Amino acid sequence: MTGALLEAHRLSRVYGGPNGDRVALADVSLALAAGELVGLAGPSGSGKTTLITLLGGLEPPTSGRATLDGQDVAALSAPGQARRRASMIGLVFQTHNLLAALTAEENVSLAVESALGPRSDPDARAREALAALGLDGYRHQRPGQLSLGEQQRVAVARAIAMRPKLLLADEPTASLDWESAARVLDALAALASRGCAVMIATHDERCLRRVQRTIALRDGRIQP
Amino acid sequence: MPSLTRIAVSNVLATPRRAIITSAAVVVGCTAIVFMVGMNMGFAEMEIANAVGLMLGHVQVDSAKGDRTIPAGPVLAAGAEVPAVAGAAPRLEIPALAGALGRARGALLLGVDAAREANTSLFPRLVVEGKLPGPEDGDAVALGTTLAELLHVKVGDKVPIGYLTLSDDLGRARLRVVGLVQSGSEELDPRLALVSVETARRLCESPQDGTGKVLIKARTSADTEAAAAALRARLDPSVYRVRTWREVSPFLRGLVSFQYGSVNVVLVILYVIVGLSVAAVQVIGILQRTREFGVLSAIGFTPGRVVRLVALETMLVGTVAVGTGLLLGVLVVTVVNRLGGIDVRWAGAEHLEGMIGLDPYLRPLVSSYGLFTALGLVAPIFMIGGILPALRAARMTAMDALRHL
Repeated sequence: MTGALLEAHRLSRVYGGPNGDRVALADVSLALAAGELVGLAGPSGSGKTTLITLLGGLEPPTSGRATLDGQDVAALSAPGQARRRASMIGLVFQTHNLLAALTAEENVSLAVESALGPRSDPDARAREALAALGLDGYRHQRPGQLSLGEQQRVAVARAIAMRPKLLLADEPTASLDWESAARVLDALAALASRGCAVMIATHDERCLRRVQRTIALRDGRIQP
Repeated sequence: MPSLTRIAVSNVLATPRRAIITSAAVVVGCTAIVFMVGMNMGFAEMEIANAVGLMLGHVQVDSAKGDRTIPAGPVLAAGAEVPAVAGAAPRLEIPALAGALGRARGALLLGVDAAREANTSLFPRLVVEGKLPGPEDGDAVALGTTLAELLHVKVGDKVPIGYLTLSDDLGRARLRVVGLVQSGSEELDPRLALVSVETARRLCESPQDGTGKVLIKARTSADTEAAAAALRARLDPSVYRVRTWREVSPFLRGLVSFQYGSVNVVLVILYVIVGLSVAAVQVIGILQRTREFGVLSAIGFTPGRVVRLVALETMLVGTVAVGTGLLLGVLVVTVVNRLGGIDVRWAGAEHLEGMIGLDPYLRPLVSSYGLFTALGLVAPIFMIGGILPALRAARMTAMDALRHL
């Protein structure tokens, strides 16, 4: 796996609960090279979202380790992890997770500013990313004024505009019609072509047809 | 460019209901504290004004050497020069016995300057019939209503008076009753016999400008110390002793202190209620935003930046809310004051017959103490109530925060 941008070695995640522990992810090892566009497939509950959150450093693994650019994702302090997410990782969530008080443009430019600093012209980058996803006319709308599909595209625009080295997308086309989904996939592919490693967790066959390779998960384990 | 300030402003403006709910607790809390402290100050002021309005004065000037009289002129002239002084009046007290045999009563023959009393004491307002005797009335007297009843005399009658002169000789006079005065004081009304200060001087053989003491009324009770200090600076300390009502009447000082203390207990309870309400509203408001903080963390906001954002928003909302609360408090206090205050008889103090002539209206006062108390209590609690839960949320993993409902 040498030379990979992202490496996971025997990643496991166990959640405690009233009915005992539940293993969400078990001994997952994988590698992603810069510029790769990879699909993460599997049925609901197979551990796709958990893997995305561990690789994104949103929560620590129970065991195992993931490295990004050679650095352990979970080893940094909370501020250090946040800074690394800002500078290297773009995340697209299943539930969009836009800030309700901000407009579409502000949501995107806030992430850009956080990633690239205030001198990176976040507003211009936000406009550019929104335009790439066909959201030119929705820049000043708040999430509550957008459809689910439009919100999802804003979330994708936010992740793309940050110019990440790694983009982790969880069901990015779930709320989209085919035309919008194609636009999103085009944008993700373009990002990969510029050297970003892109992992898309999805059920969507249309997505899986666009990726370079697919990693299949079932019951928290990678299927051969 | 979405600087932290711009995001904070957007957040506040985009969620007016949240801002209004959190502000409401602060506004109500500040207003309540300013009003309650104002009521407390007003109550103390009313108590002092009523107590000093008859025989005490805010400040008393008498002899430093224990002489029975002092020259009044220099004191009255000094009082006229001091801005903190609203009025000054000479008082000459003569022990006396009023009435004929069989109906004789111990009396306090009190020489007053009717014109000066109008700016200094409540006596002119307490005349229920006739008038206070002036210099032109000669041997005239205004009696306490109870004394008049005991002596069976009315306005127009003459009443024999026996008294002690300054040289401790016995003197006697027949004084014409020109007025009746009802102070409401059970101690004063059966003894009070008011004559003009000129008549008192003549009767007790006092020097022309002599007076037993000079009563000073300060512009407000808060001006008492300033008035006393200014008078001390202007008067010869070897001749004049200047004392505030606190020094003259330790009993009244204790009473006012007790009243402050007891009302402060109520205020402390109010502070706790206001503090808890503000903190609860703020904590709930911030905890509801945990998911939002998770999103910020996911896009790269450090915990410190999340807390700074919340602190900024809290300061924005808090500044407007505290400002509005203080302003509203001042407004309510001012309006209630301008409308004449709250009649304490209506509020449960029905048995104030004994306070005839005294002021039963409780007028709240705007005070810097009230404003600083409200600001000093509510603003920190509001900030802490915002920042502590934000710190807690910022310490969660981004995913835990995102899972928060």
